[in-house]
Amino acid sequence: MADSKVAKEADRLQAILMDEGLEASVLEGGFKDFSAAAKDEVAARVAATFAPAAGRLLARLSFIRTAENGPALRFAYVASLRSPDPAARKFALYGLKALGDPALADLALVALRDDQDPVLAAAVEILAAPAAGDRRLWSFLQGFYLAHKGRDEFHMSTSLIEAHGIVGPFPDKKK
Amino acid sequence: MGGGPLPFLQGMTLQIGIPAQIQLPPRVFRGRLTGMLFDTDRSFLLPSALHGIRRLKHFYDDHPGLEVLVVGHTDLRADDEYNRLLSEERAASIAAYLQDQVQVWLDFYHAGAPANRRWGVREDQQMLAALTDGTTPFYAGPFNGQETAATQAAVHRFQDFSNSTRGTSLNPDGFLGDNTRRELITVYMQQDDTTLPPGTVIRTHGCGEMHPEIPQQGDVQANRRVEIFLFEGAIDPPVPARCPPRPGCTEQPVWVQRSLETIELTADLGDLGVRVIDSAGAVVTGVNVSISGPAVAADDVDAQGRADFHNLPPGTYALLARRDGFAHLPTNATIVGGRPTEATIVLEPIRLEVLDAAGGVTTNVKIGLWDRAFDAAGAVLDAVADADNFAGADVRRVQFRVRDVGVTAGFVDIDWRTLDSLRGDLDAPTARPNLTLAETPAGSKNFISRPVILVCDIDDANQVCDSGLVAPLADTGVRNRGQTNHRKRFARMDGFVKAEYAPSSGGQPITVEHPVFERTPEERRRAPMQVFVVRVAAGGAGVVPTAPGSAIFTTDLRVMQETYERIGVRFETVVAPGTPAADIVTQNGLSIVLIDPGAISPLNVSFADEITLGTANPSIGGNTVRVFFVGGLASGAGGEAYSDAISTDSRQGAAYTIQSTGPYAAAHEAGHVLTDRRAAVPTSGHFNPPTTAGTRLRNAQNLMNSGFLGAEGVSGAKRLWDAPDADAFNQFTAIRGSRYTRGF
Repeated sequence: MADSKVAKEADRLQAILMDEGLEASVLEGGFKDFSAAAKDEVAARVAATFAPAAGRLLARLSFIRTAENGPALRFAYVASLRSPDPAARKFALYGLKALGDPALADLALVALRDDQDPVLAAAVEILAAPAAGDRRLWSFLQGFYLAHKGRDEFHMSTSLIEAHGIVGPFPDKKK
Repeated sequence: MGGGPLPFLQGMTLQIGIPAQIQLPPRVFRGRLTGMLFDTDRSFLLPSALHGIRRLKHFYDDHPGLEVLVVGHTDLRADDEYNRLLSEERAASIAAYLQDQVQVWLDFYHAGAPANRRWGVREDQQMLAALTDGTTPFYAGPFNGQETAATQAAVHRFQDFSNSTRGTSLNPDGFLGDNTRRELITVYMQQDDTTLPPGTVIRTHGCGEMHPEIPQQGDVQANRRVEIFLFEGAIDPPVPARCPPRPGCTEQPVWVQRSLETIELTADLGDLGVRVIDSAGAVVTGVNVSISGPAVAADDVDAQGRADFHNLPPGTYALLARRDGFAHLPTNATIVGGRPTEATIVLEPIRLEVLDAAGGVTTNVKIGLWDRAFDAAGAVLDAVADADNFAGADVRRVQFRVRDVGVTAGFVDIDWRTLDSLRGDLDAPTARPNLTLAETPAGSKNFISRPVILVCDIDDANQVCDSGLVAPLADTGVRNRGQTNHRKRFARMDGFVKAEYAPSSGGQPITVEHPVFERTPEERRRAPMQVFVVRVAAGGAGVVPTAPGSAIFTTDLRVMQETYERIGVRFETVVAPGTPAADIVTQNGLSIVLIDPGAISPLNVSFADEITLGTANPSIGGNTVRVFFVGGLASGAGGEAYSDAISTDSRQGAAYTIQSTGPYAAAHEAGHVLTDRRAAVPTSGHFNPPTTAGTRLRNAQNLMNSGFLGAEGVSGAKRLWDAPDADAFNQFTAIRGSRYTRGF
C-alpha cells in the first residue's frame, strides 16, 4: 500500500493520464515532476483493475515506465488484449512490443483473429518481420490477407502485408 | 453795420483797433476710417474696424452732444449705382453699430437684403472669431461661409456661454437661428467703448465713388473709406436724400470744407507680412493665412508663400496657416505704432499612422486577440490593466499615432473604426471621436494611442475593455462598447481599419486606412495545406485508401473545405515542387502526396516520429499548413497539432491526424494550427463549454470541442466561427490565429 503522499501524487498523475484534452507537450515532458513511486503506483493500480482500461490510458502508460514497473505494465497490457476497446487492444500490443516481451509474436498471432483494422495492423506489423523467416507464419499471413483483401475496413493490415511482399512466394534465402 | 455779431466768413477782413463781434459757425470735425473695415462687397463691420470706432467714441466723449453724420465711400471699381448702394449700406451698418441697433444688422441677413450682399454664416464666423468666452475665441476656423462642424461647435459654445452668463434661453443646438444671431450681434455690438450715448443724432449718407480722396480708377484703398462728420449744431448743409449721379452731391465737399480738423482714426495702423515655409525652408503655397487679435483677417499666400495684411490695429496677433494635412507651431506677431512687421510660419505635414508594437509604421493591421489576452478558461481578459493585457513582445499590437505640431493640449482624439470588405462601417453605434492619443513623450507633438483590439466575434467586441488611459486624461478605467476609448472593434479578416483625425489647423480631416491583412482579400482567404498520407511501409499503400473517390477525398478533405468555407476561408491543397508525380493523387483539384515512413512505424507514430516526418517533409512556406494522415499515434490521441506558438521544431505548423477518429478530425487538427497562439495559456486549445447555457453554438457543432468529432449529420455540421452569431467559446470566434496573424 502506497503512503498517502505517494497515493495523492498517483491520483494526480492518473487523472492527467486519463485527461482527454491532455497536451502533447505534457506527455513529451515525461512527467519528470512525478516520483517513480507515483508512476509505479499508477501502473500497479491499472494492472490490478479488472475494468478495462481505456486505450488512451494504456498508450500513455509507456510514458511512466520505470525500472520497477515493467511487470505491472505487462500485466496491464496482457489483460487488455481482449479489451472491448479496440484502441486498448492495439496499445496493448504496442506496449508489449515496447517492453520487448518474449511472447509478443504469439500474442500478435492471437490478435490476427481481431475484427478491427488498427489491431490487425499492429499485429501484422509485429509479425511481418519474423514471417520472412518462418514459412508457416508467412503462409498464415497470406491466408489472413486472402480473407480480408479488397475491404476498405481492413486497408491498413492488408496494405501492410502487400508492402512486405507477403502476398508473393516465401522468400528463398538461397537465391 | 448793424449791432449784431458779424457772421464769420472765410478770408474776412477786420480793422485793427475797432472791436468786432464775430459769430463763429458751429464747428465741424471729420473722422476718417480707412483700412480693413469691410470685406469686398460687404457691409459687415469687421473686427479690424473696431479700433477706429473706439477712437471715435473717445473723441465723442470729449465733445459730447455733437450730431453725427456717417458717409460711406467706395473705390472706383464696379458701376456708380452699385457703389452708391453699397456705400449707403456701409454707412447704415456703422450707424447701427454705434447705436447697438441689432435689428438693422439682422435685416442684412434676411431676404430683403440684396442677394449678392446678404449676410450669412461668414459674418457669423467673423463675429464668433472676434468674441471670446473670457479667454478663448468661440471660433478659430476659416471664414468660408459654410456651416461646418467646427462652426456648429462654435455656435454651440456661444449659446452655452450666453445662456450661462447673459441669462438668455437659446436652444443649444449649434445652429444659427434668428434668436442666436440676434444675441450674437448684440454681444458684438456691445463690446467696450464702441457705443455712442443714447439719444445721439446719427444720420447716414452714401456717396459711392463720387468723391474719391484720390481721383484714380481701380482698387485704391484710400478711396474705400468712411467719413464721420461731427457737427456742433444741426448737420449743415442737410443730408440729401441720395447722392446723385456724377459729379455727385454738392453737400459732401461742403462738409469737408467746413471741417476744422480731420482725425485719422486709423493713423496708428500697421502692416503685417507673413511668409510660409516648410521645415526645410522651402516656400509653401496653397496656404490660407489668418490672423486674429485686435483685428481678424485672412488671405491666401501668393506664389512666393507670402500674405500681406494692411492697416492692422496695434496689438498682438495669433497667426494661423491652414493647408490640409499641415500644421504649425503657435506663432504670434505684434503690431507696434504703425510700423510694418514681418513674421514667418513653418508648416509641417500632419501624419496619421498605424504603428506596430515596436513603433514602426505598419503595412497592415493584424487581427485577433493575443497572448495573455485570455484566462486559463479561455475567457477574454477584458477589464485588466493595459500592461497585463498586452504582451510586450506581441507583434500584433497595433496603435495609432498622430504628429501635429499645432496641438497645444497633451492629447488628441481620433475616430477609428473597422470596415467590411465593401468599406461598410462595422461599428456604427460607437461614439465619436472615440480614441484618445496621449502626447508621448510630453512636448514631442507625437500622440500615440493605447493598443487597439480587433476581434472577429461580436460577443467579444461587446465586452468591456480597459481604456489604458491615465489621469488627467478622461475615460480612465473600464469602458463599455459604444463609449469613447473602448478599444475593441468587431472586424473581418477581409476588411479594413480606418482612422480619421481632424487637424488642429481646422483643415480637412486626415484619414488612414489599412487592410486587416495586407494581402489582397482573395489571397488572404487562402488556407493552403500540404496533405500527406504516410505509407504503411516504403513503396506501399497509404495508411488510408487514397484512390480517387476514397474517403480521404469524399469525407476528410471535403469536410475541411466545407467547414472553412463557412467562414470565408478557402481551403486548398498545395504540393511541393519536385514531388514525383507517382506520389501525387488528385481529385477535383485537391491533391494528396504519399510519403514513405522511413524507419518509423506509421501505425503508432511517436513524438520523435512526428519530428522525423516533419523534417523529411518541410513546409513550402507561405503560411502553408502541413497535414499528415497517419495510422495511429503512440500518445493515444486522436490527433495532434503544433501551432507556431507551441512548437519550434520541424512539427511547427503541422497536424497529425487519424482518419478513423472521425470525419472532422483533420479539420479540427488543422484548426489548431490556424488558431492556437496562446503559449501563455496552458490549455489544450479546445473549447468545451461546461454547459450550453448562454451559448449559441452547441458543443456538437463546435469544431474545436475535443470530445465529439464523429459522424456528420448527427448534430448538424460543425462550424469554426460564423460571426456574428457564433459562440463566444468557439475558438474560431476570435481568430486567435497564428497562421492568420503571422507573416502577412
